[in-house]
Amino acid sequence: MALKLNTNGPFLQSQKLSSFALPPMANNLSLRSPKFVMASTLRSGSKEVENGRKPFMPPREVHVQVTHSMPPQKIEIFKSLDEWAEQNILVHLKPVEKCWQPQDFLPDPSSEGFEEQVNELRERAKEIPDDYFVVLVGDMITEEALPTYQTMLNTLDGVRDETGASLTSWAIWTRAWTAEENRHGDLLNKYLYLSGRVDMRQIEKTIQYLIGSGMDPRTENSPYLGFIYTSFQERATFVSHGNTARLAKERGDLKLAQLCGTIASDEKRHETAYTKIVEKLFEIDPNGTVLAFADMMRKKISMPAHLMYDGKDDNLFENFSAVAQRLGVYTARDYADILEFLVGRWKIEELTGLSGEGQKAQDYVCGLPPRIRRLEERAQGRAKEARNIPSAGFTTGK
Amino acid sequence: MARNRFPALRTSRFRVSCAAKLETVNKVCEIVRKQLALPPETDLTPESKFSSLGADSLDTVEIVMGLEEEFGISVEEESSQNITTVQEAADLIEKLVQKKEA
Repeated sequence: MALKLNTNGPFLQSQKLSSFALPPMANNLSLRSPKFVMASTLRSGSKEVENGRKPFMPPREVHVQVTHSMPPQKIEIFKSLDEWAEQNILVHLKPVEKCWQPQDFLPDPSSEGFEEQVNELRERAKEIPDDYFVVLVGDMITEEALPTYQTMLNTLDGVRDETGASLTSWAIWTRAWTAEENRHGDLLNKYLYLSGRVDMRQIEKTIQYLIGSGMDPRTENSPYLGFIYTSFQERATFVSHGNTARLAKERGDLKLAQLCGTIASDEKRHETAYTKIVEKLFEIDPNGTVLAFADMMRKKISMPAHLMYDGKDDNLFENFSAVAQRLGVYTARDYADILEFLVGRWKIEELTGLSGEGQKAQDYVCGLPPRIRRLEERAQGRAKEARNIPSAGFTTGK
Repeated sequence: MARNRFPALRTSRFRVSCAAKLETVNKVCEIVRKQLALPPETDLTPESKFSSLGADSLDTVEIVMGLEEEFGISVEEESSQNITTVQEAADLIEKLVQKKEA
């Protein structure tokens, strides 16, 4: 059943973004929790969007950018973990010879059947609703901003790649991780290009803006903060790509489902690696690490593409995340679940020998998931009420 | 709209729409104290800003939720962002309670 699409669409070929078809109240309400948890969408101004910004300028981070907050003596910890990392972290990389490549999931240009394969892809893509594509495009743009993420990893004290070809385990990990991730953007890009369902030029422009904007996840050059952030993010992308895979399958596009699922499985491996690093940090320095965990959660885990901009829409990322929330691809509930998972994974409740501040941090992170859930339930309840208003006059989508 | 700084002087006969009853202000204070786990020594006045009391954005939302439950009202997101002090909360509550009872 086609959604009556009637407002501006960021990426869709002369189509409109479906979330605007919702009555304004429901739209705001459904944003309430993601607005809280997705820091980028906090109106209290994590983005310079309001009056005073010149037109056609991408948003910028407005928080004060803090650097080198980890005490320099802790850099030693990471130097001393080099061998441990080689044995325990690098093992989560897949040898290139064993890796999938984008071509494995795309029509083969060197084959006779190429055009037919492309047509099949396009026919299948026609069956997929616009709002699913909005989310897929948002994911693709996020993946294509990879230079920002490699940069971010190389801002971290003690683990950065000092030369670009450093042979520390950390540097080897970062380059290989980047190389694995690079395939994600390539694959999604080629798929979307071939599908014919999206405005490629607009997307390409958006990617250019996004890479130009960069991102400060507030990790302050601290690998404690940095690896906690990446642990959360990898699990978030695993959840998100897993959901796009599931939705594609439900729509009968098994190839697309496989594509998304393959990306998701990479993310799961990466999650395993990053959570292991943080687990080791909890072992070595429980107090410092729990303080870092609470700090990141207070600052909120900002999404990598929160500065997304296409040259015209000031609320592009908000719109994208609202659709992701609505489709169940990535929701406030997922945020709470990921947090709860990490609290369990790192055994926060069992930490002992913490300072007063450390205990407060422990209490904070342990108590946070239910608070977020409560917030989210309330927002869902409100959105539901709004949908039940007879004058709403819209239909639910596919 | 003048804010009444002396809620103790109000009686129910003088229902001025911009001022909140002392009872309301006290209830708000109670909810804020509980949410922020303020020690009893901490001074809490109608002008107290939530952020100065250590509230983060999550605390503020939860304070609003607590007020909604206590007073049986519903606060719009736009309005809730304007609540930064005890007085502002109490004033909004009064307004919404009156609207409800109308």
